[in-house]
Amino acid sequence: MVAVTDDKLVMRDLSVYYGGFQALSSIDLSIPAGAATAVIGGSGAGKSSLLRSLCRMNELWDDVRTEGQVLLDGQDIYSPGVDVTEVRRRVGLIARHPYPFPKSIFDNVAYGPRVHGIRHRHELDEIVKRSLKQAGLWNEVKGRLQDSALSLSPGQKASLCIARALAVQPEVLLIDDPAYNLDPVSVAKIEDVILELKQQYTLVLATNSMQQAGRVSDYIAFLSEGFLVEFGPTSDVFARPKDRRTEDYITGRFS
Amino acid sequence: MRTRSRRRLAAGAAVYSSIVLTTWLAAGILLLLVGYLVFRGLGPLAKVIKYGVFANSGSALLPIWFRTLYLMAAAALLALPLAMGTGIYLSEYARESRLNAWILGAIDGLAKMPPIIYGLLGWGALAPRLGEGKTALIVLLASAIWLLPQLSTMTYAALQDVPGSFRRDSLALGASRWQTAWRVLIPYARRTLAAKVLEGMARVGGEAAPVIMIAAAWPSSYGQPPTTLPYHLYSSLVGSVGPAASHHFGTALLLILTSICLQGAAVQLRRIDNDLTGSVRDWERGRW
Repeated sequence: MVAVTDDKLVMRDLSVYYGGFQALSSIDLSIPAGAATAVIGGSGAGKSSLLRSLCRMNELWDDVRTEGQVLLDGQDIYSPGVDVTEVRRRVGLIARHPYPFPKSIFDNVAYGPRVHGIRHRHELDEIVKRSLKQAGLWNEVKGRLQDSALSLSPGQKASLCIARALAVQPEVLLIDDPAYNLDPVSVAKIEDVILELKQQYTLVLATNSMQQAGRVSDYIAFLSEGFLVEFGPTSDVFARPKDRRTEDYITGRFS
Repeated sequence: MRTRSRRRLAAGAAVYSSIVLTTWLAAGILLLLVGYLVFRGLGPLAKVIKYGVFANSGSALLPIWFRTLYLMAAAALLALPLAMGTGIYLSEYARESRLNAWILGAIDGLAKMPPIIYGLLGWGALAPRLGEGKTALIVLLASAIWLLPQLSTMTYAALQDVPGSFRRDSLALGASRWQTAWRVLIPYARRTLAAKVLEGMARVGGEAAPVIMIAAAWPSSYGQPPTTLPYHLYSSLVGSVGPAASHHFGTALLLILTSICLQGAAVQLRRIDNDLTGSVRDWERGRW
């Protein structure tokens, strides 16, 4: 059983609209600190919208409208005067299908710290080494940090993007579909990294894989058509789903 | 049935043949023109490079060529910072709105205006303010103003062409829009931007209209505008210089070689950029 100390993120009556389309409807959900929460649901259920709204990345779209509150350690990240870049530093997002910048492996990982003002080479060296180790990539790339990141394999690129996100030392890490377009070996490796990371970070991951959600998460939130249907500990939701729609989804019965 | 299929095949072959023929014809005409210029102009050009002046007219071509290169580079350097600022604003900061669409359309319209209009601007707006002895500066400013909307739309298009995942991932790391543009988007688009600048420079170097416009309406007491290659070609053909035809061909050959070098470099730069963009796009589409 996971020792939950507090709720890191709290959504209150959160709704997201893209123009006239409502992607999320009045979500009330608390993300426990120091645990991994998997957001599951079919395509178009609102998983990615939910993740993006937790770090104000939805605002990249011109026609998006967000209503309700998202509290990070009790402070509403949508309230006026909140520094959006600081929110995104504290709540890191690894979007679906991330891609390394066309820079060296070192510069990719050092990118975030540099934009946040870290200049000293020694400090950057330490951050890069630590982040690559956390992402399980250090041993594979330590001898070629100045090589182009584009020369890495797809699985290594995905790990590098995790290292890049870890380098800014976020408090919460949002990972959107970590298995997308990766081979099973790379997926297994990424899952091992996620299991390690959840010891130190609050993790929220959106996934289409029930097996993956079962393997790595402590809690599950099931979304359907923009509504939160069920939330609870992973073992409970899988063993005794309270809602029929959740049961149908996790057992693969779709009407 | 078989006859119809044969007819269709024959029609397809005819269309394909005519397309190939047209392409070769166009390429042939171009090659013929360049070949003719090389044939007539190479000898005089070689001599002028060796001796410094055209043997039959005493005109020095190299200083004119250097002046043309200077005008091209200086105009691009003057226009580039403002153009990049405009392109970055329109691409990264301006929200989608009718006003911004209109601004973009207006800049695009300015970029497509005939260059003689910018000559008119130099004569009508800059000359009275800058006054005597500033002909070179007026031509330079008119050329830079002509380049400004072209480079602005080019910067905008180059930034819009950067794969969206770079913008998204940089912002997700807590970078500001400016940091994203400066540290990720522009470095990625730098080859495309450099290619566009080279193309713009080639256009400035090859355009006689602004200089002619300023020269035509300029009081002779204020001095002649700076002689660039196209203006030299024009004035030597119609004006009082009157050298032999070989002079014109030598000048034209140097002009076209300069343009080909700049355009060739631009094509090479863009080819490298396309390779990189293509690989990222393949990844974004899941075709890796």
